[in-house]
Formats: sequence, structure tokens, C-alpha cells
Amino acid sequence: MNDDARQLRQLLKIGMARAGRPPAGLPAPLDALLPHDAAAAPEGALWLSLGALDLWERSGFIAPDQPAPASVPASAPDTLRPCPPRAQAVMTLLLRDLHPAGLEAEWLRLLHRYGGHLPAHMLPKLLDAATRQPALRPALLPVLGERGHWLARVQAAWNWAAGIDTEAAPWDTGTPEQRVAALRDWRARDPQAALAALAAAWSSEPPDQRAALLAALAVGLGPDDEAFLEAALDDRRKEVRTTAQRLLARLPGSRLAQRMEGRLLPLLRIESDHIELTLPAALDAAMRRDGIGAAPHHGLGEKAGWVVDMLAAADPHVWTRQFDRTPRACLELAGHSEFAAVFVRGWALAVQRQDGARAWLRDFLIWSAGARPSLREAVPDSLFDVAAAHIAQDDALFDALAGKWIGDGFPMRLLTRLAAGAPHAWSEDMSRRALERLRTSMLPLPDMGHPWLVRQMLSSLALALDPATTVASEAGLRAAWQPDAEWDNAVNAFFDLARLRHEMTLSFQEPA
Amino acid sequence: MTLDANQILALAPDPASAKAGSQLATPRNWSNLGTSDSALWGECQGSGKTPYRTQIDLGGPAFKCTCPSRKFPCKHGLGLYLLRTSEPSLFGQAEAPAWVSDWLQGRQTRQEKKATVKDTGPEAAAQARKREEKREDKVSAGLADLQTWLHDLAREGLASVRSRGQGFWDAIAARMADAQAAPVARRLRRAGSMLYQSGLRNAESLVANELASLYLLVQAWQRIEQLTPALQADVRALLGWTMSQDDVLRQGTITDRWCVLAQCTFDDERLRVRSTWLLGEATGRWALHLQYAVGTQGFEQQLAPGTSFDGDLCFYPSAWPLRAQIRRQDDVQPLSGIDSPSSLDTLQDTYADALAAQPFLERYPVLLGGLVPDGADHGIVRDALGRRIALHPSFRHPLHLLALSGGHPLTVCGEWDGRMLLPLAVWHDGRLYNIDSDLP
Repeated sequence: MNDDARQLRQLLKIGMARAGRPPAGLPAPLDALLPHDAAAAPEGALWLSLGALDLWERSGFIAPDQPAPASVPASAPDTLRPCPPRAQAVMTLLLRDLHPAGLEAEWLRLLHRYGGHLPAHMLPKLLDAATRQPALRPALLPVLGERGHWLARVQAAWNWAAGIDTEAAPWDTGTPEQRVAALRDWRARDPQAALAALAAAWSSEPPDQRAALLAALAVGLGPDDEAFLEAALDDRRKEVRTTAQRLLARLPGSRLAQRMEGRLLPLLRIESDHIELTLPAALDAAMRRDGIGAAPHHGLGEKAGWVVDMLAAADPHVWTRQFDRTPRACLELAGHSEFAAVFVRGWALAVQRQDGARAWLRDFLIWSAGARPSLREAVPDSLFDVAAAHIAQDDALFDALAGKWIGDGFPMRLLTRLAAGAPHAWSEDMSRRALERLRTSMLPLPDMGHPWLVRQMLSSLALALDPATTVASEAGLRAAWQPDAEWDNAVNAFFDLARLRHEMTLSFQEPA
Repeated sequence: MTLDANQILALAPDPASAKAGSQLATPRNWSNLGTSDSALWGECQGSGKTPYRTQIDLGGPAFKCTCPSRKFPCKHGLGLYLLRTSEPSLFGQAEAPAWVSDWLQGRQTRQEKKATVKDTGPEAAAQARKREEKREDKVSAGLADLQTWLHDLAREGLASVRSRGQGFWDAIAARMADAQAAPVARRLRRAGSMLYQSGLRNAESLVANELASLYLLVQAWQRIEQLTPALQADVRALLGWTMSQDDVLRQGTITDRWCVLAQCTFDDERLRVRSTWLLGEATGRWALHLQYAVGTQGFEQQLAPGTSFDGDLCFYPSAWPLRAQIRRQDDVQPLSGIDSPSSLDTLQDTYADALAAQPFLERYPVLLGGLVPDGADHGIVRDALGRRIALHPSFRHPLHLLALSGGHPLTVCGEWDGRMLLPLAVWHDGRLYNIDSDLP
């Protein structure tokens, strides 16, 4: 009967005129429906036959009975807790794109802290979102649950979330990316064994793979890695050398850092209130080997750039000892020097590399609040992102931002940057300090100036401040800000967002 | 009963209202909040001097607000309802103020009036009969033209008209529109556009079947006196005759607890159409409820998927009655469970019966249990016996179906066209997921 339908459709396609024949009669048992009638139009017979066969097929549909191919096994039951319905309702709102981006990650972290897994029907949208924005993945992965991992296995684009066991990741046999990931995991567990494995395989690694593998030593970097990295400074590949330079500079007291200090000390001399700098005369092979002069620094001369490279690779604590001053005083000293920008930039890069240089980091922020704008520009923005991750408990910062913020947009820019870069919401304590500063240092909004900066600061802060503290201080802030019609929307949005985040936190706190 | 946030947002006429509504759901905007067993009210400070009075009849739910917005429900209504779900403690039990009780009473009276429908005089009936005959003549002439057109097409062949473009189809569709057979015009335009749609496999056999069905409809019209009265009503509806709501409400009613199982909203030329499938708990009867809205206007009747209500339905006359109007809707409750979904075999039996009674059936509802979406081929599901059921190509959420199932059986409410299943809602783990509104 299938064949009859196909032939009729074929006839309709080419047309009865061209085919030169009328449609064949319907097969039994449908033949009784359309008795041959010489008077009737043969075209009508074609349409009626098609219609009859269509109805016949539809009413007698037989599902193809192919046995399922080696089908995917069903997902195991979830061991994590189900998401509370109230929290689910909040996420439903977030997924409707009615609110600023970024809240999803916070919600996912709250769900993780609650010990829950995502509701199944939200998985596709979030897996899609995290496929496009890898930054969302660390928050999503721990709450996928069994169902999420199962789902990620049946859709190729989501395989990154399939929960492949990293313990068994193939260091010996994997693809280049898998081997880098395996090495990183290994470093996290046992840095020395991983280094030994890398050293053993080093000579047989293809040159373009070496730099990627070497970079994995950043995980668990320690003094034991120095000899290997030092040897890599002589590698034939530039990418490998650069990676080794970068890692050695991060290693406090490394030979490379000491060589840099050795080069710098003869060039520097403290005068009463500034640092006298003699620029180096020439770039020799040993300096080049350590990465000096590898790339120019914007706005600085060639030789000044070499000094920046040296400062960036030396341990910043050397200077506090050498000059017997706090980081803040060192910066003041540098500020009065002819090559102020060289010091600021070099130290900023060094501080950025040295995870332990907290005192320097803090002093950098406080100093920038009071520094002249032209000098401030020498501080790379990326330093503030590093700061954003570390300032969680620092009150001195807000003291540095005291007074009325008039004329200078820096406090706003700094807070925006710190809030936007914060990996987690600020603590209650820090939020209270920040809000107190916002209340006392800002003029009423209509008089503030820099309206665009203020708006940007408000929208970044709304995502970083502790929501309960913000909601509690609403009345005081409104009184201080005195928003007029023009500012009403921005201020309402600020508090609406805080309230939404507050509701989000509460929604995970109901008894399960 | 109150709806949850998601169900409330599903009532919004457009995404902008949903957003504005959720922003209004903060205590700061509201004063004089109150609730009684059947209603919810509050005053919302808008941009004007006097606050807007917003009220909700929870039974419907039905909304009323003094704001000038033409959206329905407006953002204030949605905001008030959302506020109630997030902060119920703000709403004290109180005697409804006059402006609320008046409205509630008015609604009551109107509903009673709806139940007693008026009659028209004999003179008006005679005039209507005359208009009717004129229209029948027009339709007959139009359909005769369509028949000739189809004969020509059969001679020339589909392949050769392809090159003539959409204009060829629009021309005959315009002729049908002149003949006051609007649905036929729409189907012809759609059939033509299928031919030029890229990525549509077997477009030619789909078009062939659709045109053959139209040919059968032409013949049915030409022999309408020989059909049963019920099938006559179907044929007339398919040709564009509409029945006034009053006339429908004059039909006998069927009383049941109706489960709102699936809902989707789509654009049909200039109208927005919201179609809702209801299933009677005791009778096992299906009903299709259609609502139309223009522009940003909302829909008059609020039916939230995942709820059920006690109600009287009046069905449009048909050989296989599905479409219905709601005459009474009370006691809305969240759906607690779903009764015995059917198997593929039962579906095939009832579908064959339905086609035998009404061969022009376009949409056929089904509640199928024990379906497992296929992990390898996302275009199919398998029933309990492992048989393949193809999903309709217009179904956009196969991965959501997989996510909900996790390889375990699901119950799916959808439409069956004799070959493929179009899922519209999924019942899973004690909750109904309406695909059009609940899946992000």
C-alpha cells in the first residue's frame, strides 16, 4: 500500500498530462471506495485516491518495531538534595532574562552550598549557557547531579560536563588538551610526581606541546620546580622560554629573581625624597635569556622598559627591606622620582605575579586613591582584578576613600572594578563598611557629577554587596543620596537587585 | 488556591509585562493590601497622583485594575499576584472594600447572565437565513473554482508549478478569501509555502496530502446534504462558518473536573491564538479551548497549565467534538495527579475511530504514558515495548524531554497526526511541565 501511495504522489509530481496516463485504481480493500466511473474526471480520481490512502495510512499507523540499539543506560538516582521550590522560582525568573546577567552563577553557588542539584528541566538552558560562557562552568559543574552528567553525555556539545573521571585521565594516551588537564590535576595532588613525569616525557614532547605542558606547573608551583624551569629558559621555542620566565618570576627567591635584583641594585639610589635611577646601558644575552626587553611597554622608552621587566620579575619584598620602608612609603618615594611610572608599573606587575604580596596589594590600592591621575594610569587595570579577589577583609581601603568624592571619579572606578571582579559576594562586614562609605562620602546624587560612573558603580555594587546588609541600609542611603526623578530608576534598580538577591539567599534557607 | 510564580508569569500577555510585573512585586509599591477567600486587592502607586486599584478574583483568576494600560492582565495585576506568593504575610484577611466587592458581584451577575442566553425574534432569523444562503452560494462558487484549479494542478504536476513561486498559491488563496472560505485560503497559502521552505523533508508528499484533504472537503461540501448533521457542522466550520459564543453556550453542557494539561500560544496572521487542551477527570473527554487576542491585548480567560477546575463545558457541534467553550469555571486547584495515560495501541484505535467519524480532524490530543526519549536519536521516543514514535519536526525541546526523563519513562501530553507526535506537556515527578511556558 506504501508503494501505491508513492506512485500516486509521483504521478501528481510530474502531472497526468506529461505522464500520459490516469491514476491506477486503488488496491483492495479500498477499491470499493472509488468504483470506476468513465464520466468522472480522472484528475478527481487522483486526488480522491491520494486522500483515501493518506487517511488509510494515518488510521493504521504501525510503529516501526526496530529493537533499540545499544541504548544509553538510564541515569542513576541523585544523591544531592532537590532544589527548594522557592529557589526554583527565583531561577525561573533569572532564566527569563529579566535580570542582569551574573546572578545565575551566584544562584548556582548557593545551590551548591545548600547541597542541592539542579531541577532537570533547567539543565538544557544552563548547559547551553555554560557551553557559550566557560566562566559559568565552575559554578554549574558541582550542581549538575547525576541527571546533569547523564544528559551531558547524550549531547556532544555538552561533553565537557559529562563528568569524565579525571583520576583516570589519560596522561600517557590522551589528546593534547586532555594531557594538559591530566597534568594539572596531577600537580594539584602530587606536584613532585607530576614534575617527574613531565621531565621524563620532556625530550619526546612535540615542541608546540611543551609550552602548554610547562604552563601546567603553575599549579602547585614550588622551589622544587626551579631547576627544571631554569633549564627551560634555554629551550629553542620562544613560548617555552616565556612561560618559564613567567613562572620563575612567580617563585620567591628564585635564581632568576635574584639575578634581577643583582641587576637592579646598582642602578638604584635613594636620595632624600626620591629614587635616582640610572638606566642600563645595554641588553646582553643573559638579560635576554631572563626575558628582559621581550616586549615594549606602552608610553615608556626602550631602556626604561627593561627596568620595568626587571622590577616585574623581582620579589617586591626586596624593596621594602632594601629601602626600609612600607610598600606605601616606597610608592610615595617612587612618585617623586623622574622615572615614577617605571617603578609603579614594574612593581604593580610584580605584585600581580606574587600571590603572597598582600601588603603591597593593599598599599597599592590605598596609594592609587591619593595618587595623581597621570601616575595612576601606570597601574595596569589587571592589578585591580587581582585585588578584587583578595580584599575581602580589608578595611583600610575604605578609610583611604574617605572624604567627599568630588571632582575625581577614581573611587567610583575603583569600587566598580573591585565589585565587578569579586569572585564571591562581599562579606557582611566589608559590605557594611562599603555602604557606610557610600553614605558618607557621596554627595546627593544629583550633585555628584560623573553620572555615568556612578550608575556603573551602583550596578556593579548591587551584585557584590551582601544583600541583607544592603536591604537593611536602604533608608539611610536614600536619605543621603536624595535621588531626583532622573536618578529614581537607577536607585530603585540598585535596591530591587539587592532585594532579589536577598530573596535568593532566603529561598535556600527554608527547612528542607 | 493560588498559582505559583511561574504559572502567574505564564498569564502575562508578553515578556515586557512579565518583567514589569515581577519588578512591581515589592512591598514598597503597594498599600492597603488585603485578601479574602476569593479575592486579592491592593493599591499601587504609579506615576499618577491617585494610586491604581488592583484586584484579582482568585477563582478565575480574573484581573481588574484602574490603570489605563490596555494589556491584560496588566503589570499591576501580575505584580500584586506575585507579591502574594513571595510575601503572603503582607496580605491580611479582611472584609473586601466596596470597590472590590462591587466588582466581584458584577462578575457574578454577568456569569449568571451568560448561563441564561437570550432568544432572537423570527424576523431576525429570516434575515439571517437570507444572508446565510448568499454566503453558501459564494462558497459553492469558490469551491467549484478550487476544484477546477486542483484538476489543472493534477494535469500539470506539482513539479512544474514550483517555478511559479508563492504568487501562484496566493492567487488561489485570494480567490478563496473572496468566497468567504478563509480557512481554506490559509491552508492553501501554507501548503504553497511548504514547497519553498528549505530543510523540510518530504515537502511534496505533505503538500499532496494537504491538497487531497482539501479536495475531499470540496466534495464533502458538494454533497453536504448526505452527511450527518454533526459532520455537516464540521465541514461548515472548516469552510469558515463560525458559531457565536452564545450559540455554543446554548449547547448541552458537560460537567466535570477539567485538567488543564497543555497550552500553547502562537501567532496566526494578525491574531494571537492561545490553545489549551483540557481533559475531564470523570468523563475522560478531551476539550480544545481556543482564545484569540489582537496585538498586546491579553486573553480573556485564564487557564493555567498544571491546574484543574470544576466546570461546565459546551462543545461545538461536531462528529468528533473537541472544541469547547467554558460556561462555568470554579474551584481552581493545582493538579495532583494524572489518570491512566493511554498506550500506543489504544491511541491507534481511538484515532482510527476519530478519523472514521471526522476525516478532516486536524488536531488530535493524546496522553501517552511510558515513553522514553531516545538518547541516541533525539527525534524519536520509544514506548514501553520499544517501538519508535517519531517526534514532530516542529518540536523544539527534545533535550528538555531527555533531561526530564533521564532514560526513565515519562507521560507526555501532545497532539498526534497519525504519523508523528508533537509533545505539548510532560507530566513528571508530580508536576506538569507545559512545554510552551515552563521550559526555559
